[in-house]
Amino acid sequence: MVTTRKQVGNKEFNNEHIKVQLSNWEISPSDKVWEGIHQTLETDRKAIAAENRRKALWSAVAVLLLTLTGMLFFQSSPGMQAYEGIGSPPITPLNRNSQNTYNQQLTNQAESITSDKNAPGFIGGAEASDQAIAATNVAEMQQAAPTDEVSLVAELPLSAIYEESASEHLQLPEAPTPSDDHTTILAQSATEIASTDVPRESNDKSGYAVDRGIAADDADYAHDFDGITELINETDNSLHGFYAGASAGYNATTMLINRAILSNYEGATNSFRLLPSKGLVLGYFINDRFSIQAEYAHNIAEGVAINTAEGANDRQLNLSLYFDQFPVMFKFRTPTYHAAINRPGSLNLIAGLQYNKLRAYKIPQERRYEISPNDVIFEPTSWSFLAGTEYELFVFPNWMVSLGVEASMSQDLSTFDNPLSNYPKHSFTTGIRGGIYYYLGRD
Amino acid sequence: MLTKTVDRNSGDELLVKECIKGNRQAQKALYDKYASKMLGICARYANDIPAAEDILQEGFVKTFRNLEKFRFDGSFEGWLRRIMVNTAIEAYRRKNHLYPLLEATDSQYDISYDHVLNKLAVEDIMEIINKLSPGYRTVFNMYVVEGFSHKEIAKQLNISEGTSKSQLARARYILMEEVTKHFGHYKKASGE
Repeated sequence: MVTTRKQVGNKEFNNEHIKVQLSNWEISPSDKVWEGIHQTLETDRKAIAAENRRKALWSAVAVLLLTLTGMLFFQSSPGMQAYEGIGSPPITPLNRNSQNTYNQQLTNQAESITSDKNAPGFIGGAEASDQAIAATNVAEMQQAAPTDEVSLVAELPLSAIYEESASEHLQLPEAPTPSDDHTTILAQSATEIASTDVPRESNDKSGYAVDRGIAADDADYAHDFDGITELINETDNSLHGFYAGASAGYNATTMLINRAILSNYEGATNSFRLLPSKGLVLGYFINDRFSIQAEYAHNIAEGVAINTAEGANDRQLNLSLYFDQFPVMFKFRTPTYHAAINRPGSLNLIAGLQYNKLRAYKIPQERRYEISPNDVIFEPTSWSFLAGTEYELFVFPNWMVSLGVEASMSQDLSTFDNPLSNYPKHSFTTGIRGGIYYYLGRD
Repeated sequence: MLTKTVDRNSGDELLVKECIKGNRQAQKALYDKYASKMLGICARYANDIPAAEDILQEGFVKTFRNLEKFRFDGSFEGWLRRIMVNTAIEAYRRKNHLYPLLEATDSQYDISYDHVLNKLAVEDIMEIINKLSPGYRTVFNMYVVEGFSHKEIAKQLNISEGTSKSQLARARYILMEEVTKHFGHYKKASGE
């Protein structure tokens, strides 16, 4: 046998024979192997069925809670006036005396219209009936109009604007400050009256003159109230437009899995890791009730702490996933007003989707690896569902701060070739988050 | 859910699809079709056959749990083989993580290469390979049989590339010594 001295090198060793021999080697396993597989799969099946039942139950509970919460928020609407005049004093109820005086005028006008309904040629046919009914309705609605302060504030979102703007700018000495209910009703009725073609259809000159006089007065009212409406529209400073800012927080993050994430370590348990987060925010107030917010969060770490239980060798290992994240959130807002600090705020419910782009990962005892196409340990891109609640407060007319809690859960991030474990893993993160934003105003 | 009658002679695609549906007969057929070959792979990494069977069982459970991820881009056997190798590596790490492989340089192990190893039957090769320590055996299997690069081995086993190379060199050196003991044809070249 010839013996040749060689330096060991990767290419110098002829492996082909060994490779072929070993690759094709077969051994028949004992029956207990399949029995073990069968039992495990059966246990899996039962566990999945139980898990599905749990998910269905919790989903139902979540939907129910969200529905109830939504109803609660919709019903508690006293904050709707909160943004009408950011930084302005709280809205006060209307002066009761002025309102009573104005109510009396409305009543008189309604009676006047009703009493003239039989005048020759004044109103006839279906239009006459409509006018009479409209006038009667005015009186009835005026009588039914709420007079207590709470109801006025709750149901009249634009009252403050009217109260302040109309009295200061419109100079309507004969129009006492009405409630908004009355404003709307009178504006409608006056417009209807002014647009009536009755005078052209009447042949009675005296009636025509009377009608003309009333119609002219009412037209003046219509004009005045049109002006108020325009002013209201112009001075409507409810939220609408972009805001931008930055956010930061602290997350508790883990992987959702029923067993130790590292099968390498017997008795290992998963626990939360505490990691910071930060991001840039661009948002848009659709109206007082809804806003949409997009964010860019750079190099956010998620992962899990793995506590091994090996007696004297107990230690904690960290699995880290580094993401660039792009959450897009819809916010359901419930405006409120803090009289004590004279500032508007809002309690928000948040829900949205987050796009995760994996930048790098670090698995226990290993170096940090940059993502390359050949890496198949974790999904390079994924989606998360996120939800939470927060409180927004305007600390200055255009500066807003927020503080809240959020939670997110990702899709299964593992791929099958994970050398650590082949079980599905979802990243679950919850944490507190604060932000400061600048409201760019109406667009 | 409707399930088809299948056996080990059925095509892989049909077997896999039936397995995904939860057809236990298909799962058994798939197992019967590949179990012997996969146990051969597991046995190369394990110390003994019972340990290899444990790896085989774990590997098949993972396979059935993740079958929906197989997209028929390549051969099913290749995919299954990769799972078994990964499972065997996991088993190695599970048992040996407290005993890290030590760094060594290639030049420490100048050996004489003898073609006698190439003439051995598979049983003889396995007998010799089983005498290697788990670390050497794992690196040797991954490099020589599975075709992993040293970079890949380093990543999988949490070691440096240099350590992987030195472990392979050391494994070969030990193999040569074992061959010598068996056949007496080996003479050490160094110092000659």
